[in-house]
Amino acid sequence: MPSYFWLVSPGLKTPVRDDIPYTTQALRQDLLRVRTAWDDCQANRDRDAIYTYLSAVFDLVAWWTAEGRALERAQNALRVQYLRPSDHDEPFAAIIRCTADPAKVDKRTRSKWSRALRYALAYKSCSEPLDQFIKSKGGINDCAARLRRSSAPKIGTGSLIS
Amino acid sequence: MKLRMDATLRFWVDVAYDHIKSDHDKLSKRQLVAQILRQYEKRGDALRCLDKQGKIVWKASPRFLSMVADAERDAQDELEDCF
Repeated sequence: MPSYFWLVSPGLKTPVRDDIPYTTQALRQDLLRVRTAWDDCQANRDRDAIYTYLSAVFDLVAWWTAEGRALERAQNALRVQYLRPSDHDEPFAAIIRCTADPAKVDKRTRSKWSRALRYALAYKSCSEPLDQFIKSKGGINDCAARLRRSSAPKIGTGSLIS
Repeated sequence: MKLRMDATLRFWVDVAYDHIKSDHDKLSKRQLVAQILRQYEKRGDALRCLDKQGKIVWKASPRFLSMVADAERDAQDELEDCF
């Protein structure tokens, strides 16, 4: 095996901590992975390919939410992509804005996907795959509409800009 | 808080830990593993996500899995060339 797999920069010049802060480099890597999922789904003609991308967005925001940092990190994500946060970007919408081609995903689609993902975050069990959940609820459009009808809470305390 | 990892990542983190522990005998295993995961995450080899119980776990990234698979194939080819 190449040495790459076990040489891990053992310099340790900074004070050693036993927690693991989420760095800007880590955020960039996460956005890159979601962007790759977008490229993959665009290259795939399967009509369900979009779920690969939406799952990547969902998984990222889900663990940010579990740490109670979704809004702040979504704002950082926009910043590292040189995008100006708007006053109605939820974390899901922000990540979609950072990673999907704006020529193919307009504001309305982004809002619809964001609502469907927020509905899934509120009502899906962690063990159920996203595509299975959304399909069982009638698809992306129906999930987005269900959020309007439900009282699902927003992630965090509101939109990115208060 | 316990650092939960998938089996592939656990294996490579343990390899990395064995490789560097003698250089850092004043640090605990937890501190070194945290440093290793930090490096892996920074270079895109590891990521965090939620498991089926909704707990945050670490796993090897798709890119890392692909690199490991390539390296295993190369090692296998080299082994076959020896015989």
